[in-house]
Amino acid sequence: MLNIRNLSVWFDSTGVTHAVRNVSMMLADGEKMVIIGETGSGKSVFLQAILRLLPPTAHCTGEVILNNIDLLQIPWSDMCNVRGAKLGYIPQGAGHAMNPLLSIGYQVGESWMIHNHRKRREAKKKAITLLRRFQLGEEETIVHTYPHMLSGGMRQRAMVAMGTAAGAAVILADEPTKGLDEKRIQMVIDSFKQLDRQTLLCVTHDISFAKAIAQRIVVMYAAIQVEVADSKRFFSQPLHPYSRALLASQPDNGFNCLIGFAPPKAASLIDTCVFAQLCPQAHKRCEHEPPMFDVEGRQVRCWLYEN
Amino acid sequence: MIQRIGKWIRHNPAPFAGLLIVSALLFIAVAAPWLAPWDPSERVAAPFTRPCAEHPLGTNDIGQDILSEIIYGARVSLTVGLLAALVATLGGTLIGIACGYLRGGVDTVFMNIANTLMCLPGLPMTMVFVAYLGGGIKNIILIICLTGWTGTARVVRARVMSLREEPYILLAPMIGANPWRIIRVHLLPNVARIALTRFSMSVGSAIMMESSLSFLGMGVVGQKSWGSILQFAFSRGGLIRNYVWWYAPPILCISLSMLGFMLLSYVNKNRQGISTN
Repeated sequence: MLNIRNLSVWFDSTGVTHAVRNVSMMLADGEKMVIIGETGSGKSVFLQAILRLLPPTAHCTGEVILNNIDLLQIPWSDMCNVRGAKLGYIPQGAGHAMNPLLSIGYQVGESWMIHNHRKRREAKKKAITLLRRFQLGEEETIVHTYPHMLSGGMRQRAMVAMGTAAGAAVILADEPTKGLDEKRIQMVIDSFKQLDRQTLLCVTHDISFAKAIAQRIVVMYAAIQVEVADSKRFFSQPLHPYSRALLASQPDNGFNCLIGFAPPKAASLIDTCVFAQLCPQAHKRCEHEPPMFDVEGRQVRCWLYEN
Repeated sequence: MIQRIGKWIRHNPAPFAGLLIVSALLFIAVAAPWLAPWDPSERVAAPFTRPCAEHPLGTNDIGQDILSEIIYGARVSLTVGLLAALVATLGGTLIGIACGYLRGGVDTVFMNIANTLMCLPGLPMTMVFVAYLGGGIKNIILIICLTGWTGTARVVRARVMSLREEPYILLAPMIGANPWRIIRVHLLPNVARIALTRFSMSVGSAIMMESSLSFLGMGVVGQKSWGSILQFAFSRGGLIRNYVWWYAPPILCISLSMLGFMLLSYVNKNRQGISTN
């Protein structure tokens, strides 16, 4: 179980920029949760904060509790035993995320090799099993190839195999469908469906991908959560005005792009509702930041649901 | 196999020529006792004997056979060149990786030392070290290493600084790799080609440095080297009397060995496929 409490991240380079503000969530074992939101809403930084791989200019507060251990409090060197073994990570942009000089087999099996103290040859055998699980085809040949020899979709599936190699119970995935066409996206969806026992926390702005794999959806906007709901109810009836605008902007829903602007600078909006400037239903109450309201088991940060 | 070798030679004519030269020189150095017609320390003929069938390169001022001196001289020159270049390149590569990847205090300290050493002219500084530490093959190697690591360290550091921003290096900790593993498995193969090129170039400069020191009379004492043959040719009147057979062979040998290692270093530049250099 992964429990994140009041996680905040801000950058201190040219003035203070809040990337993540007081985000809390609890993932049950085996749960598939997807964080959606537009570019710049703080999704990727949130994942990096969980893994403690933020750049030096970042500051982070809050709690990330995995198996009763607060990951933000343990020594940095101990994180080497957590990353890969307990927290798997599937990065965005598989094209650049692999070392061009190492074979696919070595890279897929490396995490397993590190955490189980095994040899290179054994890791390649393990890689064949893993790649077979994600149906890459001709796995015995692929383990000897190099990243540039694979297509984008194959690389991305190899990355999924890499992230899950050491048997991590919690998988974090950062925009796994970025830059892929529909057919490749379907392949990635199929590989994610293979992860039936693992807990999945995925970040994406691909709404159709989120719909295909999520059990629960978190909507982030300008560094904060604005809505948390189970997937079916969210896609049939989004509550927050931003969620509604986000879904309306999808091609399937008529490409009705109400948003059209980058998220506002979160630092200047700490006391107001972050979406108030663009919200068609904004009123005087929105000058104050709303708390999370519970609406029939769903959580919404909007004054419309005060009662 | 033979076809692959043939293809490699066609694609890499310069490195192949370098390989032939270096192999020949190494063979001469290793097989010196069997190849040398005379003992280079023995007086075997009259001084200043001109080239003849018995002494193809003549003799020096005390009647030692110059061809034997040249053959034995290859041992010292190549030992110093190879060992000094190996240690300097290894040290420079490790320092470069540490500075480029870890940055901070390590980078500041080593780069300031490197900058200072690079500001000072090489040969005079080496002479100062020799004056303090004394001659001898070990000291010469040590001194060449002390001054020779800086170039490699700077080149490797620059490469590592760009590599550490590559996504696959930034992402390496995500699978649980510690910094030592990242350096060993992910960074080292990426700088290996640069290090190899630097190594073959360093061998040439180390041979040159040893010859220069020997020529100035500060080299390996008691053993023949190409530099010391040159020194004697100049100090004992070989040049004034225009004894070409005395001073030209060591010059040719030094030039040839430098050329050989330089040509060998082109092997990475001609490599097909993905280039990381």
